[in-house]
This record gives sequence, structure tokens and C-alpha cells, in this order.
Amino acid sequence: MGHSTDPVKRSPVRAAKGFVSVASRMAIVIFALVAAVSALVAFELTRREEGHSIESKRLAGSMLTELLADSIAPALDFADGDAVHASLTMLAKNHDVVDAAVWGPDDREPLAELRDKGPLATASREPGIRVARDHIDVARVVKSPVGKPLGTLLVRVSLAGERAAVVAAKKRIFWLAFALSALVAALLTAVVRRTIISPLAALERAARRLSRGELIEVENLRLDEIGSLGHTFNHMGRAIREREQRIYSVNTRLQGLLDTMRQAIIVFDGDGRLERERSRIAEQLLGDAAGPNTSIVDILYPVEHASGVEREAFRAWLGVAGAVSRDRFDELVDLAPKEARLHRDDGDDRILELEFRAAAGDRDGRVMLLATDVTSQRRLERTAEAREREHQKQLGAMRRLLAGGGQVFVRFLTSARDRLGRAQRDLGSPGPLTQESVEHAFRFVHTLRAESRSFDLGAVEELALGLELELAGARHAPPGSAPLVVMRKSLESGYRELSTLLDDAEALFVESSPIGRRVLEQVTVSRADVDELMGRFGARNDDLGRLVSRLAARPFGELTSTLGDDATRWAGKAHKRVEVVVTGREVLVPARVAERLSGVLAHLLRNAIAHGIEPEERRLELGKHAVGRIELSCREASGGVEIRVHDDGAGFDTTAFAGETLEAAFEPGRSTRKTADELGGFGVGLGAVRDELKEIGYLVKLRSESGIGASVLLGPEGRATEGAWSTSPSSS
Amino acid sequence: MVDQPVIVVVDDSEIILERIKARLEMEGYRVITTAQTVGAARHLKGASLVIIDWHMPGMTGGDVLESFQRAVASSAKRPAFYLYTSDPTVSAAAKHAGFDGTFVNKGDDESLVQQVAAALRIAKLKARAAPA
Repeated sequence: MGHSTDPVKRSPVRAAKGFVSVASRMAIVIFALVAAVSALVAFELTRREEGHSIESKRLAGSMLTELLADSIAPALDFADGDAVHASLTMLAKNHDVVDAAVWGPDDREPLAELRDKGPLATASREPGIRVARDHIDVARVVKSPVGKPLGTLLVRVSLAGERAAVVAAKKRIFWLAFALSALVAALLTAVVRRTIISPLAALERAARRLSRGELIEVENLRLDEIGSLGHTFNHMGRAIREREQRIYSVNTRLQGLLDTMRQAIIVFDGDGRLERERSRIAEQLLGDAAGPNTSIVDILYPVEHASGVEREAFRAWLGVAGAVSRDRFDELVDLAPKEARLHRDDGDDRILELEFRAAAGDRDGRVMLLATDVTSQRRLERTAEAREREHQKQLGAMRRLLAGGGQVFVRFLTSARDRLGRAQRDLGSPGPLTQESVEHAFRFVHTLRAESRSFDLGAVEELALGLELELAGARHAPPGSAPLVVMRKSLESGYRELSTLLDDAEALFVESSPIGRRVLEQVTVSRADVDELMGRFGARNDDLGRLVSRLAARPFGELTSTLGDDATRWAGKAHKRVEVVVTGREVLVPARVAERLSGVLAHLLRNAIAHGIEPEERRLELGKHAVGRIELSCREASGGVEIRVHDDGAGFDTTAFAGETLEAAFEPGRSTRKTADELGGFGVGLGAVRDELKEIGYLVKLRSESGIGASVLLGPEGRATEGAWSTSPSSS
Repeated sequence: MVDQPVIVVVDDSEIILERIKARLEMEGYRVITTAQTVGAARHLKGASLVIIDWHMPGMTGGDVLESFQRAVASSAKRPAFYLYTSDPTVSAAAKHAGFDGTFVNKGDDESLVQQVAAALRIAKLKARAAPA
């Protein structure tokens, strides 16, 4: 005991008040048992020995009394007191005789007594032997040879010696028994310690080490009950280790699974307190802020950074989610926040997409949060949205330009490029700029800035303003100074960038133009003048005739510029959705065809929407895109142009023309629709289209593929119009 | 389309109204904006949320709220009324004035989207908890 490092000795049980070792208990019991047995044995032995001693003394006293009685009988017969007394006096040499006395037959007083007035004076003279504690009285009637009673003899023999011997023996036996008991107890205690206590202590130490997770087995086991217990302990230890390894292996696999998921996984209880389970990404994302028992509310919506309403909403949801049973958790998923902004001290706030689920476990109310870091994705989306808004803004500006007359803008582009070229040449050879160059450059960028503002060219305006400010500073620089060298470099790179921006503006202008690049070549002429030219020279088969014909021709894009919006409106009325894609915008359509084409195309579009394009739900069921696609394509051909109107709808419903070819669709009164409305169904359209185009030498052909789509092909007579048409990937 | 929540926004700045409308409609809400308080109560029928600016010409957001609350007093379904402000002193007085809460960070459209979503979730949770 004391300051031992032995865990057994430091055991709280051993340190408790009232602890008594098994060995000590055994020692006490053994000692008591041995002592009791020894005492019993000793008591019995001494009692027997005492009995034997007393019996021996009794016999001796009896014999002595007999002999004495015989010796004093004659003297007593003659009443010779002196002789009797002399006989009694001989007994005085016997130390065991305490007293002796003789009475005559009728004497009340002793005739002779060994001691005067001794203890026998009052003793009983009844013949017999009486054993008292410390003496034996032997009384005998003295008789004559003829048997005549002569008197009584009483001899008292002492038992003091015997008694003293018994007491001495008892003491010896007591001490011997004590020593024997102590020895036996000590020996047995030593044996118990060696065979039971020590092995148990070793087992106890091993159990403590096992409880601390150490790999331990008890060794040197004997073939007895303790050894058997030791073997059982070792077996238990091995089983525990195996189970721990299995649990560790499962946990490692689970943790690995959590860690490979790209989401931060956290588990919290019904009060919002974080639990230990989490993925590696959660550790990385949340850092020290997410210790056990931290509140999920404080992590997602810290007071200093989140709005009160978001905190309130999440707390309210948590209150309900933590109380609902696992099988009803899905009812609450839609009421949980879908996104949160995770504040970080380094300023790199993260946007998290949140998904909540009921966590598996032994109790309800636990919730698992799967948080995906979508910060980069959101930034990209917002950047893309911002660019798209900017792009739409520019497109809108361009459309306004076109509506107001794109030629002004074209003239601006041409003029700006010319002036830019002169400005670049004016920079001259390398070296500091001259003051004259600075002034020229300043006037150029200053004018360009104003012009670009009027055309809503924000990027050009911004760049021009920057150069203007630099030039304003360089105006006052001394000739040949370093600022003028720097200014040259700025202008060189600025002019290159301006050139790029002007090209971009032109590309945007062309992109938003229904007639594409032809818009750059547009001039304003009088329709009456063109018609007159056509009337006079259009029929000629020479260069002049062809030139006039080209002047009168109109770009396909111009003829289809409004059809996109019209188609959207018509489709909306039919509860459908379409987009119109135009290719070959720049192809020039001969005047005689252009006059009729807008109406024809409008008619064919209505047909496609009414008969071909399916409703949105039906298209989705068929695995098609929800929005139907109608392509208007135009290409040059010998003798004119070829035009195709193609839709990805259901194709012509030939059940309406059972047993007949598609040509039946051109017959008056024939329609694939059962009912008619403003879009169609009256059975007059296609035939009228064919007749109208035939007047100008154009044919109409139909192609259909059930479930895939249909095409209407227009082309000059004599053309096969069978050449492959490529599908446009873009929309106008 | 059928279950789009309707949000009414009252602010004296047309620019702010335009921005809020564009951003919230991107999230799928139906948004009704008005810079006029007179006659605005008719927009409240069927609305889930009403967002009100505090500093209005000739009156405060609290006055607007009061008139709106009178208008919907007899309605079975009352919208949630939220104040939209960056002024912390006004924000602190919102609950006392009778607003259900406050939207902060005025001008931050992204923050507004999250706060609107949170307010609508609170309303749904309250409706769920209310006795039938």
C-alpha cells in the first residue's frame, strides 16, 4: 500500500475503508479455528489427566487408610490413645496427608488427631471416600479381627499438588496451542497468497491494462481453478481485441466513405447541437468553429453576419424537425433552407447548398446535413448572368439602332476605324510623343468617347475616357520627358484594344441584324425608284438586268425578321412553344419571289404550328425538347433560291389521306385537322401556296417522317431541291 | 405556375422596385410593385408577403402597414408584413410597429432573395403549427 505505482494497490476498492484481504480473513479464521480446536483438545486432555491423578490419589489414600486402620485396630481395641496417636504421627512424614483423626465408637471428639483442632474435627465420619476440590477424605470404620467396630479413622489427603500440576499443564497447553495456531495461520496465509491472492492480483492488473486498451495476456498459468480463470481471461481479451478491430475497420470504411463524398456531412441533435460524426470536408470547411455541442444555428446563421429573419426561420424549422419522428421527416424537407452563406474570418465566404435528412441512429430527432460548396458555381452563374444581361443590353441597343436606321452606325464604324488608323500612324516612330501628337490623340479619343456614348458602346466609351484622362495629364509634360514615352505605350495598347472593341461592336451589330452582314452594305433607296428600275431593265438578260435584279432583291433575313415573334405568339394561342431558326439570312431573294414569300412563309409557319408541332407535355413524353423547332432555310440555286420550312413535329398525319400520297394535302378541302381555327384546318392553305408560287415559276414539295418532322420545300421549276439541307445549330 | 407565392413590394423608388421585381421573378415569385400607397390595398388579396419601405413621402412604413392591416383585417389569410431597410434604428422598431420582421441589407438583391425565402418558410411553419 502507500505510494505504489502498482495499479492493483492503487485500486479504489483496496483503498476503501473496511477493505480486508482474503488472506487476512483466512488467517483470522484459521487462527481462530486452530486455536479453538487446540483449546478443546487441551481441555479434554487436562481433564482426563486430572481425573487420573485424583483417582490415583484416591486409591493411594484408600490404601493408606486401610493400612492405617489395620495398624491401629489393636491399639484402638485396647483404647490405647497414645499408640493410636503415635501411629497417626507417622503419617506426618507423608506430605500428601493433610490430617488424620481417629474416633472411638461413641466418641464425639477425636481420640487421636494428627493436628490439634485440625480441619477434620468438623468433617463427616461417614465411612467412604469423599473427593473435594483440594483434598480427599477417606473414612473407614476400624474393626477388630472378629469384626467388631472399634472406631472410625478419617484421613485427609491433599490434592494441591495435582491441582497445581493441572494448572501448569493448562498454561503450557495454552501457549503451545497459540503458537501452533499462529504458525498454521501464517503458513496457510502464505500458501493462499502464493496460490490465490497473487494470481488474482495479476489478473486484476491485466484486467486494468486491458480496460486501458493494452494488448495483454496473463502468463504462467497453473493447472487449477485460478489457472482456468486466467485462460478464460486471455480468451476474453482476444475476443475483445477482435471485436474492437472489426469495429475500427467498419468505422474506418464508413469514415472513408464520408470523406470521399464531396459534401460536408454533419450530424446534429434535436436541439441543434453538433455531434461527433462528420466528414473530412466538414472538418476542413467549418474548422474550429464546429466543435462538439456547437449550435448549427450559430454556424449557418451567426448573429453578427446573418439576417434575423433567416435565423428565426431556421430555429423555427429546427424546433419542428427535432421533435418529429423519423418517418415524418420528409414532410419538413421543403421548409428547410436550401442555401446558406458560410462566413469565414479570412473573408472567403462560402455559399453552401443544403440538404437535410433524418439521421439513422438509436433515437429520433437527429438530423444529418449534407452541404455542398457551390461558391465557384454560383460565381460563374452570376458572372454569366451579368454578361448575358450586358449582352442583352447591347443587343437591345443595337436593335434600337437598327430600328432607327443602322446606316448611321455603319458610317460611325467606318469613320471611327479610319480615324483610328490615322491616329495609329500619327504615333510615328518610337520615342517620346510630340505635343502635336498628344493633341491629335486627345481630340480623337475625346470625339470617339462622345460618339460611342450615343451608340451605347459602354466599353468603347470607358476605354476612350481612360485614354483621355491620361492624355490630359501628358499635355503638360515637358518635351522628350518620360511621361511622353509612357503615354506612347499607353496609346499603342489602347488603340489596339479600341480596334478590337470596334470589331466586337460590328460583330454584335451583325449578329442582331436579321440580314446579317448585308446590314453593313445597306443604303437607303426609294422603293419606287427600284421598282421603276426593275420595270425598265429587270427583264434584260445582261449585266445591267442582273445588277438591277440584285438591287431589287431582298435578303432572306429581312423577309423573315418578324416571323420569330409571330410564331411565338401563334404557338402561345395554341398552348405550344416554338423557336424559329433562320439560316441563309444574307441570301438575296429575287424581287418577284420576295413579294410573295413573307405571306407564304407565314402561312407555312402557321401550318407547322397547327399540324406539326406537338403540345409541350406530349413532346416531353416522346423524349423531345419541350420547345418545338422550326427552321427557315434559304440557299442560292440556279434560277433563283431554294427555301425549306422544316419542323420537328409529328410529321403529316397521313391517316387523313388514307391510301393516298402527300400530294393530296394540296387538294382543296383536305386537312389533317378535325377542327379549324385561326391557325388552320380549313383545308385551303397548301393548295393556295402552291398556286401562288407556281405563278412565279416555283414548285412546292412536301416531305414527312412520322414522329420526326415535316419539310416544305420551295424551289424554281426544274430544280430537284433534293440536295441535303444542313440543320442549323443556332437561332437568330 | 399555379402555386407561385405572390409578393407585394411598396417603395417610393422605381429603380428599387424594378430591381426587386426582376430579381424575385427570377426566383419564380409573382411580384406586384407599387410606389403608390393609395389603392395599393387591392393587391393584398392572395398575397403571401408584403415588403414595405420605411421612408415614404408624406408617411412612414408604419402608416402604410397600419392601413394595409385594416384592409386585410377581415381576410381569412393574412400576408406577412416585412419592413425593408438598412437603417438599424428603424429596424429595431419594426416589431413594435407591428411588422412580422425586417429584411436588412437593402440593396443586396441576393441577400433579399434568401430573406424572402426565409420569411415564407416561417409563414408555412406557423400555418403548419396552427390548429386546424
